[in-house]
Amino acid sequence: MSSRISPLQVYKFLPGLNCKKCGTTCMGFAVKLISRQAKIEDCPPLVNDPKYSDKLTKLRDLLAPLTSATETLVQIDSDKCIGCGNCIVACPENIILDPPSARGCNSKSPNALWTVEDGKIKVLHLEKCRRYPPSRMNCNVCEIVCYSGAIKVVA
Amino acid sequence: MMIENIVCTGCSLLCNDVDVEVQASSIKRTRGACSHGDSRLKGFQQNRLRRPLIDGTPTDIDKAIEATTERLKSAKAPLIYGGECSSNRTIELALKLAERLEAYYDAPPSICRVVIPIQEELEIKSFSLDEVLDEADFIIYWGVSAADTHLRHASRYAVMPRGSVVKMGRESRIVATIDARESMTMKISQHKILIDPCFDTRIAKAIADLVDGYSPSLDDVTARQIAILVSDLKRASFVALFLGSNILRCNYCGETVRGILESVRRLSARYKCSVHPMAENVNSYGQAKIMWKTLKTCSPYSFKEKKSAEPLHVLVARQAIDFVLAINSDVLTQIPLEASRSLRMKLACTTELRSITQENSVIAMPIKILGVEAGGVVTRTDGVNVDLKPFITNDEVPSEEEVLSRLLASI
Ligand code: SF4
Ligand code: SF4
Ligand code: SF4
Ligand code: SF4
Repeated sequence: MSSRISPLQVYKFLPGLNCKKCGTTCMGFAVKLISRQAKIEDCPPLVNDPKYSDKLTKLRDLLAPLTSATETLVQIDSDKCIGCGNCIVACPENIILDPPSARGCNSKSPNALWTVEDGKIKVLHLEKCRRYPPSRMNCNVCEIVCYSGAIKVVA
Repeated sequence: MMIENIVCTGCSLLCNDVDVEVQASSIKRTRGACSHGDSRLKGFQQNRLRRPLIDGTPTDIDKAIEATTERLKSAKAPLIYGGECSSNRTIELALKLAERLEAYYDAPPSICRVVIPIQEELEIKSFSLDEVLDEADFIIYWGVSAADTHLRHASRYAVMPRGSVVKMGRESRIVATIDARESMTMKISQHKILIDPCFDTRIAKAIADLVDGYSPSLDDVTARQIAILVSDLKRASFVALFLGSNILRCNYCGETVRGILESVRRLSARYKCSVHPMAENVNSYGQAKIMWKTLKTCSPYSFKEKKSAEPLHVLVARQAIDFVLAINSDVLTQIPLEASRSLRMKLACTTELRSITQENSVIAMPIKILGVEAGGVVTRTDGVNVDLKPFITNDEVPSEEEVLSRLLASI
């Protein structure tokens, strides 16, 4: 199951005023918060009006994993990894960086996004992940195919 | 030194794209191998037996072969056991040895030993894993959790890769997992069907019935799941079926496999169908195939009576065996502990690694590690022969093929 935070979850903890002081609607702001194009502080009613303090605390808790995540918001727990290679072969970016992996081979190119070494995933260039700016695509293929739950796309 | 594209012998998938870094006869680093393969490749030096032993005392290989010959010659009812972790040539030599000694021959139970005879009888064709990679658009894992046994099966061949026909890889394929228990493989499957143990035949028949336009008699939930599976199946053109060891848990596994394969035969009127048994040991397929070719049976065999014999635990329980030569196979783990006591000290073995069987053998003969120090041909899960090339030199111990050839020559 995906562990991603959905815009609706975030929206629930916003004031819901649609005042556009943040430059967009509440829902638009929720999306921006997840993709880290906005900060909680960009919503003045939420941070300034004490009646939203409960929502504010809950929102901070909800978004906490984003601050601990890697720049791409893909977290990898290599202790859990079993080295199956599913992520390497399924990742749409990796097969462009290392074409033989499109046909099931382990990536060998130094330019690959990742490879399996000593029976575990080894990240080489996570900055090339499609979630990374500027593309910020909403990909989570690696998380879907990972048998062991070693990969978590947190937002 | 980095050696590229060796064949991993961690399981019967025999991945051929693994790189290893070798230092002083040990493998220090692996690239491309899954965690199972990595343990096999890096672990052997710590776990191996270095010298032949007779009654626990170190000796040389000539004396060990001589002692084994004596024991085999004087035995009235010897058993030659194993082959699932040996090369095809070793298996052939083991069978010749058993024939010459009029011995029993057996190996651990495996899904290959059940599937291959029925597949041959029903004349069900099979296609290679490379064809599955390129073309198969409907994958069925049945009684097998590839995620636990053949870790790279989905990524290397069956699900993830982009083939010449299935151009989008996993997006061009439908995956179904049918099993009596939940498994990690279900995570990558669109269809997850949990069935009662031994219910496999009914499920297989229901699938074939629905494809042929009849309605199956199943309980509501399963019937609905099967109907959804069949609606996807109807759009497929190449069905690849992988059968695994969980089917062996059913007491009637022979009937179960026959039932499944009869349904596959019906499906092959409409689809390109491929069936692969997925046994864990590196050469279970070769063991079963050679046994079938030589003896026309995959059941335990008595060369004295020239027919199938009783199962190993029965033979052991009634003390019908007076000496065992284990061919790199942990025979003592295959029988109940109580019964296995009667076999202790009536054992000789060839062995890559330390094992319970080796610890209880009168004669233990260490051998070169297959696929690392020794070459030889083994057979992949799809029946394709793979030539293993040694890449580490070890002159201290012989290859298993050499030990078996010498035993055969001296008997
Ligand atoms: S500033 Fe806050 S309340 Fe106003 S629209 Fe943006 S998110 Fe909603
Ligand atoms: S999120 Fe997508 S692009 Fe990024 S690593 Fe995972 S599969 Fe690759
Ligand atoms: S898919 Fe998961 S378990 Fe498999 S190699 Fe990638 S991180 Fe490891
Ligand atoms: S799947 Fe099997 S052959 Fe392939 S790397 Fe893993 S253990 Fe080795």
